[in-house]
Amino acid sequence: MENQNILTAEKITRDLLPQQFGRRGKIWTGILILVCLIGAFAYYRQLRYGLAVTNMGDYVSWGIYISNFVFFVAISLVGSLITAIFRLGNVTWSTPLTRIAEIIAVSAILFASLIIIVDMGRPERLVNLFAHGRLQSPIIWDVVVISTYLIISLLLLYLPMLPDYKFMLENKEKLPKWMRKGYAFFGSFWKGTTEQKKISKKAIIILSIMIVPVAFCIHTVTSWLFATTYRPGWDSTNFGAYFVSGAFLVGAGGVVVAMYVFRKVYTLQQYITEKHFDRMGKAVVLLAFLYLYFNVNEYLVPAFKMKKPEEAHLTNLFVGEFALMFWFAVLVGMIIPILILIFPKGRKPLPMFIAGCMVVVGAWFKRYLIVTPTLLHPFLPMHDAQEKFKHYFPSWEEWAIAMGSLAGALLIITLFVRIFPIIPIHETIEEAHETAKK
Amino acid sequence: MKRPKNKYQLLFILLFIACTGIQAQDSVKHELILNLNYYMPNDKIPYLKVNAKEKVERKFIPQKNISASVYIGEQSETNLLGKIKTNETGEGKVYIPSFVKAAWDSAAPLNFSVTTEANKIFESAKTEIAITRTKIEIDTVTEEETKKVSVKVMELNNGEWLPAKDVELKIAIKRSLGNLPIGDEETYTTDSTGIVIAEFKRDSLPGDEKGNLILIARTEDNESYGNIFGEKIVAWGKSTKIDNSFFNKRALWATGFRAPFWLLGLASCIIIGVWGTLVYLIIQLLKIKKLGRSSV
Repeated sequence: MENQNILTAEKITRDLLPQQFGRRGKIWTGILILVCLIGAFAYYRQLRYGLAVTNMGDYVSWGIYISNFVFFVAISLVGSLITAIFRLGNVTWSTPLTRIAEIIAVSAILFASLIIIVDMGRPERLVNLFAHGRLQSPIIWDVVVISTYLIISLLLLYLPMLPDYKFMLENKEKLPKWMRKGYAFFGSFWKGTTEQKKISKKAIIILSIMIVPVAFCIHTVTSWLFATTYRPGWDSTNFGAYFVSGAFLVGAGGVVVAMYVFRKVYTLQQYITEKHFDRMGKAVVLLAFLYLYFNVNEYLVPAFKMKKPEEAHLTNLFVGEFALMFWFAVLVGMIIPILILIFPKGRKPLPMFIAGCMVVVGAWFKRYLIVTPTLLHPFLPMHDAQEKFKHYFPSWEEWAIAMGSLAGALLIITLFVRIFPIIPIHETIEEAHETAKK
Repeated sequence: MKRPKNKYQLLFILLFIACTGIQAQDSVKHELILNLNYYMPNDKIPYLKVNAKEKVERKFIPQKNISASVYIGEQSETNLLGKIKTNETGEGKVYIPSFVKAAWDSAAPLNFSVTTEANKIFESAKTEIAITRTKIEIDTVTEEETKKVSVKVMELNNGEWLPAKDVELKIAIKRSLGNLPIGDEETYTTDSTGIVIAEFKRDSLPGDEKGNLILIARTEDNESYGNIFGEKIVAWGKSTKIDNSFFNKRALWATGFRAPFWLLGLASCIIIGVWGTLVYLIIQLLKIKKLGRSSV
């Protein structure tokens, strides 16, 4: 890590300890809470009046909620990439990014679970999934794998953070009472003894190994919710790999955006350096190429054959009702970020931030395009269907709930940064010592 | 007429005439064909179905979004049965409301009409039908081992129900996806007493749990009577019992079956393995906590 040879433990601790929100932080948190409250009110309306308040119908029964769910599951995958894959591969430069990736993963997977309950319409029926679930159904696999991934991600966030509690408790007199109590409950027992370190290290390695197959499962299983049907646009053997590659891309894009924001807001230029952006930029380009490759397979091969049921779906995407959104997702979500990040100048913080935003926004629309247009092209003609069932645009309640869930995920990340150090203090000090020794 | 000064002026005038000619041709409104059919399902609310279409090069093209008003008797606000807008297949339906009961009871025959107003494309259109109220009664006759169905059609004439002769009927058994004729004949015609007897030739047909079948007799687009339906339940079928035994069968692919034991075993092993490891890690975490407390 550049500049770390001149960083002392005191300075690192001072720089990385959580800070109080400034004016901008308070406004940002207020906006997020407001959006969440609007979403909660819309959900109250949905509970009271039923799914009739949505614009979903006989054909589009999976609308913006499921698109959002797939987006959350996708972005959560980054936890496994940066925390586990990089850790197991001894990629030491990723140390300042691990906690960013892990909190994105935890908040995203939490809201993925919640949005599924929202989509059910009758939340109390969730219990039936456990009581009467069929093991042959991909929905049960999804429930099992999401809950497993959530627990692993929480442990992988918590265990490496244990040594940092010591630093957080050092200035406990200045902390509010609830924070002091929280830190004491969750981390005061960490003394840094050899035995504690040994157990913790072993547990982190086990978690890092475990999270990789579970992460691959979580998104592969999500893709199978679609791919195990015969429907045009979903009936594909490519879907698991296509989803996993897309998930890594959007997750990496999300980390890039978070890196830039935290670096700028908390003045972390010495810890999240241009080198980190450069390396993350290369990772994003690689992942974007990979995802582009799977997209070519996913669309070009069926388009070459143009089987009758696929024809209406593909025509609608390429030149029809969804063409604008489709080409936006392809260009903004993949092509333009590749063009920006392939050149060294594009891998500077600001262009990286712009490219990261493009990847994330493009990815959200991409999930919408995966879910909705297929539902509008059933195999049997829409006989005696009401005109409104032939098109889909989310109602204001759907938008409010979806945006509320996105704001909720951002709020968790925001509050986490207020309470915990977003860059691991202990690991950064250790790495600084090692660099100094060399 | 003043002679044009040069050939360009002549060309311009010719073009202008051609264009106005095309425009005039475009402004000619098309003819809309309206059909009105009367339906009287067994013991249900009668309704009228409107069908709007246009004849284009020997083909009838259904016309959607055509607004039409349907009346009973004279066209007035009080006789308005309802307003419809045709769907994608050019059809619209109006149920006969209870407030026209007086007109319904007194009129014989019943006169219905449908009208549309002229719009940008079509001229106004109107169609009328006169319907004589009719009822269908179904009875069964068993002679030796032959099962027969007797259908009687009666029409309302001056407040009196009289036999309707020479009425063409279809007699069939109601099945899930359509109607199965009870014999070899496609249609049957009533005699002077308004009765027709048809032989039932569909032995051993699966019925419900009690072996019940639904017999139906109907007229189809009859000019005087419209579409009238009669129904009767007869125990002439083979009783079928719902097979629920498959709920306990196990198979990987069939969606109605339970999961096979090997899949349950394999999945349980994976889940127990992963969650067992997680429990182990939580125990390790508690161990870290215990070590910290004891080192104080």
